[in-house]
Amino acid sequence: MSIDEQSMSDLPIGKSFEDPSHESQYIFRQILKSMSEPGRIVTLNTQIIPPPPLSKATAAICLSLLDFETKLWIDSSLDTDEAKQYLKFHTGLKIADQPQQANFCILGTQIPNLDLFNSGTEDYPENGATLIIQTDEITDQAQLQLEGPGIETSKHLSIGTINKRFWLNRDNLQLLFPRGLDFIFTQNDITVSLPRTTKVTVLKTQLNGY
Amino acid sequence: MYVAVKGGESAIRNSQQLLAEERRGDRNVEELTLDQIQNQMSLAVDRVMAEGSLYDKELAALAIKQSRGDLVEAIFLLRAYRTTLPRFGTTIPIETANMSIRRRISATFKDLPGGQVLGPSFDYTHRLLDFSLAANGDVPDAVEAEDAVDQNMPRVTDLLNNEGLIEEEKTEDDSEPFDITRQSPKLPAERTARLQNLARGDEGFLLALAYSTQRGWGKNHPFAGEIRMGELSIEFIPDELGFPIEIGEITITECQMINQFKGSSEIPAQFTRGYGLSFGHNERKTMAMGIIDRALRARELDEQVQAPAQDEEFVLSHSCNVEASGFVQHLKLPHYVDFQSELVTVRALREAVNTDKPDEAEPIPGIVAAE
Amino acid sequence: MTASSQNKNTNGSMENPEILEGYNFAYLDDQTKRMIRRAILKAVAIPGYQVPFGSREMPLPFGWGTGGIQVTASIIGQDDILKVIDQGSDDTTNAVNIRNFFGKTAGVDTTEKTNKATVIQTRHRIPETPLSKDQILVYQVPIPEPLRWLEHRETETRKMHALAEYGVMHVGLYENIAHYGRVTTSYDYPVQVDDRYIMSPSPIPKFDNPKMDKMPALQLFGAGREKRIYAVPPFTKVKSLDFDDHPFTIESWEESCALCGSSNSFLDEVITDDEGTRMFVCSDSNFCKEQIEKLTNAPLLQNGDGS
Repeated sequence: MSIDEQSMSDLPIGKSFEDPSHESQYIFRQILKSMSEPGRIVTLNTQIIPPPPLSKATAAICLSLLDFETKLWIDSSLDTDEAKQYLKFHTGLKIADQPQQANFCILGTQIPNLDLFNSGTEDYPENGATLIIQTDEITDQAQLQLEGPGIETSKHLSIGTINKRFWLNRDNLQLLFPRGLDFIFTQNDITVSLPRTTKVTVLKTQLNGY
Repeated sequence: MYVAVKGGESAIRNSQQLLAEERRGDRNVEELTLDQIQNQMSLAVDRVMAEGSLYDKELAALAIKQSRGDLVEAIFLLRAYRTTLPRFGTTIPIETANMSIRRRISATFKDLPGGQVLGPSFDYTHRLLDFSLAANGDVPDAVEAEDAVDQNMPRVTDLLNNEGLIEEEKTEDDSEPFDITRQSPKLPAERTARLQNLARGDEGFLLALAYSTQRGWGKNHPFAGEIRMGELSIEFIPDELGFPIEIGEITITECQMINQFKGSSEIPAQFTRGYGLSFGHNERKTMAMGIIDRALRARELDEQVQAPAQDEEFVLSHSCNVEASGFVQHLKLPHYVDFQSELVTVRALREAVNTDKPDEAEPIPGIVAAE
Repeated sequence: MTASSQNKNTNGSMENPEILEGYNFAYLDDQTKRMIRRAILKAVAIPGYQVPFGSREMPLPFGWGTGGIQVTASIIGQDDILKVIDQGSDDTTNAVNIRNFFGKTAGVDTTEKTNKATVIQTRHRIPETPLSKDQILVYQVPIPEPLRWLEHRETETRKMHALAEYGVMHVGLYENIAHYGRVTTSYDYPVQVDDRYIMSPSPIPKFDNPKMDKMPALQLFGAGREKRIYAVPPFTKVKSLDFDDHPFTIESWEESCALCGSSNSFLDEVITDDEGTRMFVCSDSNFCKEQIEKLTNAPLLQNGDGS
């Protein structure tokens, strides 16, 4: 269907990139920095206005990286028509019905068992999905200790109300390396990444009263 | 005092000006027009379109002109242009049974519905230089047939299929064909990926491989079931219309090779197929492609893979002349650093040998091929 | 974004009249860039693993840096400062050519100064000047598969990488030692990344291998013809393969650079007359120039920056 034929009410609410080529490049470079240096908190400066409940950072990552060649799964807690329409309209991405089919997933802090997601194969580990997790707080407080590629010695990180079971779940998944899942946490316009190689030690579980 | 080499920039610029001048040649000779190339070098144009994966005679003619007739270079020019083009959609698959035939021959049946149509062919020319062309190119008009070519021109393989003597042509599943121009090819490859690779593959490479199978390097005795060449219209369904519209007409050549197959406990003896298809009039290419397509089905048909033409990774990895030409010729690039590393190593090895056994020095190990 | 970058439009800027009309910023279309960017992120997440990607034909020949060019084109932005070297030098024809390509298609600033560049594309060398955090080094790679000379089938090498079955590599190196008394591989010397994947460092001399270990800069590798991208994140362990009784060593010269006097840089051998008289000069032209400047305490005018 062409845009002309769509009624105005079908047009997604919100605002996308004004200069998609250059803004995508800038957002990508920030994500690349974040993925290369796990635990480094990176700001995504952007004027986009995504429909709730998408955070600016979550939406910017999708606008920058996704298109008709990628499948996105959205967890029911964040799965609104407005969000889906916005992302589909501006990127052409395909929505996956099952998390297992998706290259990218958007989740809230209630993270289901990681077995649900595609963690790739030993032959083609890059098929392991990227999980974008919207949280309520990202700081460099000493809740978690991170080590691994991209980190000179070790780094501290605190990610809102993620439960301890998630970290145990992730530890177990790491035994399957090179298979794995790569995580990008977002909050408003900031983001921090934990690729599958980062070793996470939970120092305090009760940091934010969780 | 020695000063490190500089000035690459002006050297490159000057070299390119010289190249442009050489391309033009003697300015007293009239400049070639794209029309002339399209019309009088049409088979070169067809090859460039086929391996350049872009059906545009004018651009192919331009590429041939720009490349001074170096067709591999022209193919590269067209490919590099092609990658910058946006993709609007996919056309409806063509139905070659419906093409308006200009040439159609079968080596398997003396006569068949639609008959044998020789069309324009070098096949029965005596390869004698025609000195009259050196003087002027005037040719008498070709004789027009009394009857139009039969509209009903079923494919030979379809005729065999009616009897169940040849395997059904089937797609592997309902998924979209693999597109090697968008995705990195995976091994083992699907047949769609193989056919796309061969359709773009270097004619010379495919020809040599096909020839090798005929000489026993991969047992593969084919019959040219049918070769047909002619025009087909291309249809596209725009989203906003929802019904097909014709967007143009292309010339294609199709070859169906028929091969023996003994059959198995499950399948009665039947013939198998090898398929070749190309833009333009490219008979040698499509025949070679049909032979290799069949040879590459060895694994699928439980044949032993013994020869290069049957080896999927070997064939698919080396068929592209844009890749091959680039990599072979990259050896022209500076390799001072790697060569210096090798010099250090070879000198050290010689020194070690001379120190150990001054009288009976071992042969010096060769320098490993540079990257 | 800075104010200056906003003056430029997608196809370049008014400030640079030489920018090619009708092509995208940095040549590649946005869809292709996204595909390559996704591959780069996975490469970073799985250090040393070769991610297949849908490599495109570029207007430069395969084998001449199309992988590095596609990676650079996908990461570069208007505010980046690009340095391109081949054989360590900014002036070799191929480096000049690639730098011009990005000048024409992206209009970005270029430099010869290693420490001023945000993105450095290289063929066959790692600069002598140590790289820092937030710099990105892009390698052009001809054959990304380190096991290729021992097993030419991708179907086999993929299994070896999947299971980290690298016995064939160790046997190969050991046979080399048995025959010559040392490992004779002098460039493209295989490394192991983060104790997992064996990786080709690209055909850099083994002299440069130690620089890869725990490098603060991000290292990206692009193989266009072979359609692979791989990466080493900053501060990642990169170990050149060796044996306890035959530790890894690098090239050394008795000579020093005839221009700057450096005795710890990689030297190119230059033949200066018909008798085969030789002299040795730094392969890294920018490093050499900076050493001379330090000695003379004054910039060399004829080798000024900017291109």
